[in-house]
Amino acid sequence: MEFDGERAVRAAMDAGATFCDVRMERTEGLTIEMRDRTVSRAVHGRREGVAVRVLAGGAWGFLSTNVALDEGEAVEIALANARIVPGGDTAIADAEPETSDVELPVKVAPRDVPIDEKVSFLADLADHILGVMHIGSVDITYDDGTRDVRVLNSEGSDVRSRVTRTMAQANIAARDGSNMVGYRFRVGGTRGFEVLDDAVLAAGEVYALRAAALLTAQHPPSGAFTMVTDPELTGVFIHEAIGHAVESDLVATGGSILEGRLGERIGTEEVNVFDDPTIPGAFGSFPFDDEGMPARRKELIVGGVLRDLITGRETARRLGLGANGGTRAMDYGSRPIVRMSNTLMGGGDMTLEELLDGVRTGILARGTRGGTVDTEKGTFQFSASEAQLIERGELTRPLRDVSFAGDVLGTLRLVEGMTREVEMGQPGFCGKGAGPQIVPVGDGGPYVRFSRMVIGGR
Amino acid sequence: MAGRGVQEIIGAAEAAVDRWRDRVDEVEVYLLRQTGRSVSAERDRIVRGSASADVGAGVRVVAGGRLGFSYCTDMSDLDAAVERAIALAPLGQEVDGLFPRVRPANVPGLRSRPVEMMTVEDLRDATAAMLDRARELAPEASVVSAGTGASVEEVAIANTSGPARHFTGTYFSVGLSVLFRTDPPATGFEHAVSRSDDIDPHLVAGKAVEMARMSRDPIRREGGVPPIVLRHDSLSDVLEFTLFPALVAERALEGRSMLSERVDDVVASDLLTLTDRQVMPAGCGASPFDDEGSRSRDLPLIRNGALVGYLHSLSTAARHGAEPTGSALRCERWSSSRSYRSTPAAVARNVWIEPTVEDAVAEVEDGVLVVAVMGAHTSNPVSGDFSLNTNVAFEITGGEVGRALKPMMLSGNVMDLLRGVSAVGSDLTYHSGAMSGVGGYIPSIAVEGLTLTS
Repeated sequence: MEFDGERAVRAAMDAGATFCDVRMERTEGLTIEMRDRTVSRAVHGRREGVAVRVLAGGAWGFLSTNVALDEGEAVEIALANARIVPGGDTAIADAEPETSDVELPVKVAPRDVPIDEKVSFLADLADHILGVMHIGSVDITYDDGTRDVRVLNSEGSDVRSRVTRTMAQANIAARDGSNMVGYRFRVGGTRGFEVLDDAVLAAGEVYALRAAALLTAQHPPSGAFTMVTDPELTGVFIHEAIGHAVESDLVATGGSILEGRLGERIGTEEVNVFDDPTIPGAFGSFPFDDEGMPARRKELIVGGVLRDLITGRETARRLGLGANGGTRAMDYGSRPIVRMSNTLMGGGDMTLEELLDGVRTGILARGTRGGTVDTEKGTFQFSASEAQLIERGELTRPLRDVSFAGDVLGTLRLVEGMTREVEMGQPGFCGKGAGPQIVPVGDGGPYVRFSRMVIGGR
Repeated sequence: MAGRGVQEIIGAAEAAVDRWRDRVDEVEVYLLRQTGRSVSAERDRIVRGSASADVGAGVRVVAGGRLGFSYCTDMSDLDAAVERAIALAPLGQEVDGLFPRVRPANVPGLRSRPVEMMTVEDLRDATAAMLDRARELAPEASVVSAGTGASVEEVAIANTSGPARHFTGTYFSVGLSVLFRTDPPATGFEHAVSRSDDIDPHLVAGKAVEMARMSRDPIRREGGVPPIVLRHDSLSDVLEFTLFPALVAERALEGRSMLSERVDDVVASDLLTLTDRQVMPAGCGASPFDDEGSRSRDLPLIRNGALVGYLHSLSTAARHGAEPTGSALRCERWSSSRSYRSTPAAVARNVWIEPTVEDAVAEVEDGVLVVAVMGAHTSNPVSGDFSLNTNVAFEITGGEVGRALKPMMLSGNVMDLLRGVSAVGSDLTYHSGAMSGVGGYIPSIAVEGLTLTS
């Protein structure tokens, strides 16, 4: 669609806006879904649209459209939306104007790979998974897509960025009679088709074996136990329990348990947490946020002390902080809100053996089936893909369907130790806000031992 | 909102179908236009007005006996979209005579003129009324967020089997979340959605404040297996990720559902009767036809505890020699709203669970009322196992709601839950899926056999 962003920004300022930005977005992508070795769905799509945001009279007015619209009319609607707000006091933090045109590099652009080659790889992956005993079926989803965004604003910023993501996911179902279990694994990143290499085929087999092993796993006992999380699960835990609570829009509206706690100790001394959208190739990476600010690493918890929040320009101003480029919008139809990118916990100084050594009865939990948090109350829940009982420092019985819950403020104080090595977990998708807005994220960390976690068994 | 009228867009779709009619086996253009306005409040103040307009087309072709799909947002790109769909067709499912002549059922009440006419000023006033009511009821509490929205959805299908048909639906939604800054914090929330303007914002604010007020000073309760009432909110969450996917033919007929090969079997308490009321007047998930043109109907799924059948799209019906069930919806992954970007898939879209008693809580002498759970999406859709955090829960004493309870883990299996139903309340409330297109009018139920861990 034709839309002159510069003209729209000028029109907004001429009509009395104090700030205006225009985000023009075009996405193109391919999805392939396979059931076992057969393609069940293939979709190729193109989408483009524009979002106009004005700040006027201390309030936001927002318009998104993919319908051809005169720039003046678009601005008029956005301004009218702002002007319904009586006595607004919304303002934004200062930011240096940015001018840039950047593309995150990929080795093999997905659009240059024939679709037959993609299907052939996915069929190979299915073969590796289905070759394992007791695997009943596998659903594979492949996605590649490029998001091309240009953000212009009334302060002179004009930032264009292109990010390509490639991802494959396998939902493996293992079956023995009427006993059925599921196991999911994903690979992907802000990378091209090079993401899918022979190591992924080997991983498919490994995860299929894990799925089959779950058939003989038992449900966990209920109650409070010492728990060790693997890097994958640590990442999800950090994302859910801490990452959401440090999103400054939630803090600014009173929706986070961490409101007013900057500078306060919330974890043991070895707890370090950061959010970093600049990690090359990671699934949650981006060069500029959706307000056109450069992406940068945020040191959220340092030595157990809450040091920073993820901010956008509005929330930074409201909280008296600097804006750190932490807003993202799912698409042109969504306004930019404060989001995580790649959220990780830093490492400690132990080995896995040392972590397990000290455990009399506990649970080692690996992988994730997802999690969620109530940031207002500060409670979280998450689920592991698989687990093992720890008895006197030894890994014993396999366990399945293990879910944990706890409270944000208490749990980081229960960290007893962690391994040196930090690993990225699998790519994730995070939902937030009305809709919800779903964005790609990464997370990870070390193996971590918590002295107590409530586990819901069956 | 400016832009081309819906008739003009439908005309473009029909013209595209005609252009390609003789070059492929079949063509279908699905059009979706969504326009909306909304007003948001944060921390006791209105902060934002928004408007949106989005139009797009999903194109399916059958070429060489196989199905291909693509989408576009620019109607002048329709021919290119057809070409892209043709290019993908060699990979697609083998089909024959897939697209039906679209035959709409009569479903009154889907479209409300007052909702269509709502302005951002009207929505601002409704939002302000909620804020005022919350302030009046609980001056010490803070409204974390509140919002109102009005939207219009136009769906049209043009295909090679007959003339294009379309329908228009409206939605009015109101929600509010409130917080008492106690230790621990006490929160309350309420959300309502309707096809018409019949939601009272004052009532929504009142319910949210009441929940927050009741949630103060929670006490710890020992775990165990007490009688539990799952309020409609939490039941909706649990069913979305366990029972509703299990009813989809694609899963059930391919051995990936705990309801596989169970048609006519008793799978639930005889108190449970569940119907997908696709033609329910003013039903939020109802429509004259589904998202691939199959006529909507009232579809029994569980009758007095016995499984009646599964949910079919055109393609699963064709694959398994069954009739389509009017169940196809086009939703993106992790989204509950319609999208032209997705192919149709069968879902339970306007579920209705028959009540057996007035108030499920009154049926329980000593137990626990679970209002909200966290983590339903981590349930195991293959086995039906779930293990969730009870985020808002109360004790039940003598059939009445008592003190708030600290969070506990609630665990079980959905098949045990269905068998353990001992009463179905009359408080059916519409919930759309949190991460899928499912939706329905869900009651609170009393159930035995679920485990609580504290």
